[in-house]
Amino acid sequence: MDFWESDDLAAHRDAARAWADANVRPEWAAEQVRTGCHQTPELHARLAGDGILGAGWPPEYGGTDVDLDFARAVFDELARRGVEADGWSTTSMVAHTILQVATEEQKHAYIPAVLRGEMLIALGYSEPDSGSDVAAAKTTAVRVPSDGTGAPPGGTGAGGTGASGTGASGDWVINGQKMFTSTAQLASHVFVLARTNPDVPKHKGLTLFLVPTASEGYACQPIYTLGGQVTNATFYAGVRVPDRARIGGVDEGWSVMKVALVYERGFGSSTSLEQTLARDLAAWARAARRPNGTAVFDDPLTAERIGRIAVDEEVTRVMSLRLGWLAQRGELPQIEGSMRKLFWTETIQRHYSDALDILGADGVLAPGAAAASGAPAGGEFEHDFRAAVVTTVYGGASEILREIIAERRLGLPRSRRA
Amino acid sequence: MNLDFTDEQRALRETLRDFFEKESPPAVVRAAEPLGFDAALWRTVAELGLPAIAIPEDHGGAGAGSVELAIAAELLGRSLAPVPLIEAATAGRLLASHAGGAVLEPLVAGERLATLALHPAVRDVARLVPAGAVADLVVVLREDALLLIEQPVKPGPAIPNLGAMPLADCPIPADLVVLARGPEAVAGYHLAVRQWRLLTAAALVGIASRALEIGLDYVLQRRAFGVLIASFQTIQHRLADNATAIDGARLLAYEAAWADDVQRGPPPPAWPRCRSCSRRRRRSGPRRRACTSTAVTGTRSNTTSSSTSGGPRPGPSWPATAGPGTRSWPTSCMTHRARRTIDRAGRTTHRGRRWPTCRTTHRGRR
Repeated sequence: MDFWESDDLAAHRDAARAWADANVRPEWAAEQVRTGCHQTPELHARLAGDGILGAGWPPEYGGTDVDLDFARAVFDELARRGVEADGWSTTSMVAHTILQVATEEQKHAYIPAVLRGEMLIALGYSEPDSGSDVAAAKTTAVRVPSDGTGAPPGGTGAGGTGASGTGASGDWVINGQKMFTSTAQLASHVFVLARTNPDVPKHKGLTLFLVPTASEGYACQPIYTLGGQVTNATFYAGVRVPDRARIGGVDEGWSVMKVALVYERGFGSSTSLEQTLARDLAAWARAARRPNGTAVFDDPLTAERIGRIAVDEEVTRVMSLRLGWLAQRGELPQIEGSMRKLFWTETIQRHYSDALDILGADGVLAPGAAAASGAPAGGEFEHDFRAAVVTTVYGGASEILREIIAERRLGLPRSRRA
Repeated sequence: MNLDFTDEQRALRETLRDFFEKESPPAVVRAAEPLGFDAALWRTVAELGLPAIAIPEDHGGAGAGSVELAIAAELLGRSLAPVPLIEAATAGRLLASHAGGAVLEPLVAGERLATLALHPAVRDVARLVPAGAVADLVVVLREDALLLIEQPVKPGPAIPNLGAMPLADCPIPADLVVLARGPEAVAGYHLAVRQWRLLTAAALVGIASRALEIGLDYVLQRRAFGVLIASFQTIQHRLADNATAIDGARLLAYEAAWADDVQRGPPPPAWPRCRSCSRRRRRSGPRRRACTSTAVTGTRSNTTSSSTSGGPRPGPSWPATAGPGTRSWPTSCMTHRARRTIDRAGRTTHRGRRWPTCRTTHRGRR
């Protein structure tokens, strides 16, 4: 048994840093925080141009010969510099799904464009009435003849269970609304989960479509969140797409979703979440003085609270290492992944709350006021406090993760109805 | 990174699990109260060679490490076994570095029992020494001298306590043995205290795991409103949080044990974090876990026939003996940890924390 943390990307770290030095503008991180958009188009173009997006993809679909580990090291470095690439995350998730389930024509139609940086895909799963219960989606897709004349033949897509590309042609008309379609403001497409058959159990009547945002009837409205991220509500009013935009079989969307969710839960993203809150707080507390002249850190209760944060950060770190170890053994660590996300997100909310208590008045100063008033760490604490709130909701809400753990690790009977 | 036990470690785990389940069932635990020491069980444990498992081979021990001791501690914790294995093993390792064969042999043979005072002596008494009420020998630090005390009477006057542990105040007699003096003595003593902490952390993981199992068994049988209470969301969510925290605590405890095994010389900055972390995490864990298990077992937990009711008591008490008076987390442990954080913050660090990359030869078993 050993806990040595080996860096399997060590050979590429210097090159990744060099690439970032040459290509990443220092102001982009602050700009992302300011605009709430976690995707920088100019960066995306450079990543595409240098073949980094195409690393590890089959050459017949536009894959490049850039080393995949180098590409991973570049993305690590971007994250370290505070520059997110959420649009690329969702896009590559969908592209991987396409690689798994789509027709050859579709793979050739979409994947090269994705890897050239020309296609950016947002996820359209959640709706105003369904998030965790994603299969309850109410956005509809109804088949219509390609010539666009009026009513669909014989009602909804009932019976249209043929494999994509065979038999039925025609278009689909999509009506409905999606919520939290993040990065849609920059996206060229939305991966829309729609109901194509209301007469069967909910999981059995879903289909996925790649909907161009340039479509008539499509609209996108920003949603401003507590954590500063700007997401979107997207609207589909009679949006028409050809059948070749359907990914996977009619009414077979749930099995396609399951593939996509594997990539979203990111069991493969087992690189340690580097957490520096305890360290940053300790540094601040060492320097900050109380009215009586002693350092804030000299208060044993303060030191204890900071220590508690450090302990939880270490647990998260080792849980992340465990994920990497399991993945390297070829296992799919779904339960351990759920545990890690549950533990990490629930604890950071307490941590940032504690941090604000420890910092006192300084803790609530915003980044804008930081330079003037000397807020610690450039005001990151108050921003991170707000940003922590959503982490227990997205990418698998804590309640759902607890149920996964209860059912699959503890053997307890399913508590929510299917 | 490798989280597998070796074959020997796995065998040790299975053997000890069976052993403690058979030899230390709830009836034995209760019969040993309020002192918290079963002499016959201790003799059996000693005969198995467990107290000497991590004493070097050239001193008659098995030459194993902290990971093996952590395994033993975890399984002891599962059964709440009323034997001071952690104290004996820790004191024994300290004595192996500082005392001669005459002292060590009877300890290795299991004929005598040594323990470690967790705080330096103040005014000729070592206070609240774990196993102080039943030990023959006590190792304690006074100023910069590491002392070995022969206890005159056994068992000594035990101090009644929440966890039914054989605690005692141990007076320091005039005739004592000074094992060592100076910075090395002080460092050796504090290392031993940290080892006690990490093993106690492992024991607390054991308690927490068993408490969770008892809770699970119960909810899968108990019905209310016509259904198994195991199907209620609130029950599931609390137990899922428990299971997650126990996983985290176990990882931390074994990381601490591994770190103890690999380190040579003065601890690098990252190293004490594990032990402190592990102690810290474990303090919160079993109490919450045991309390949740108690809560889900409802009124049954209040009856003396329930084994869960034995759970919460040792949990909160054990770590408190290592604390200088705070009710929950020993401040010294956390201040230590936080100071290490400061040290790191003060240097230019490259991103991420990495274990020391010097792969010195270590006793860790593969």
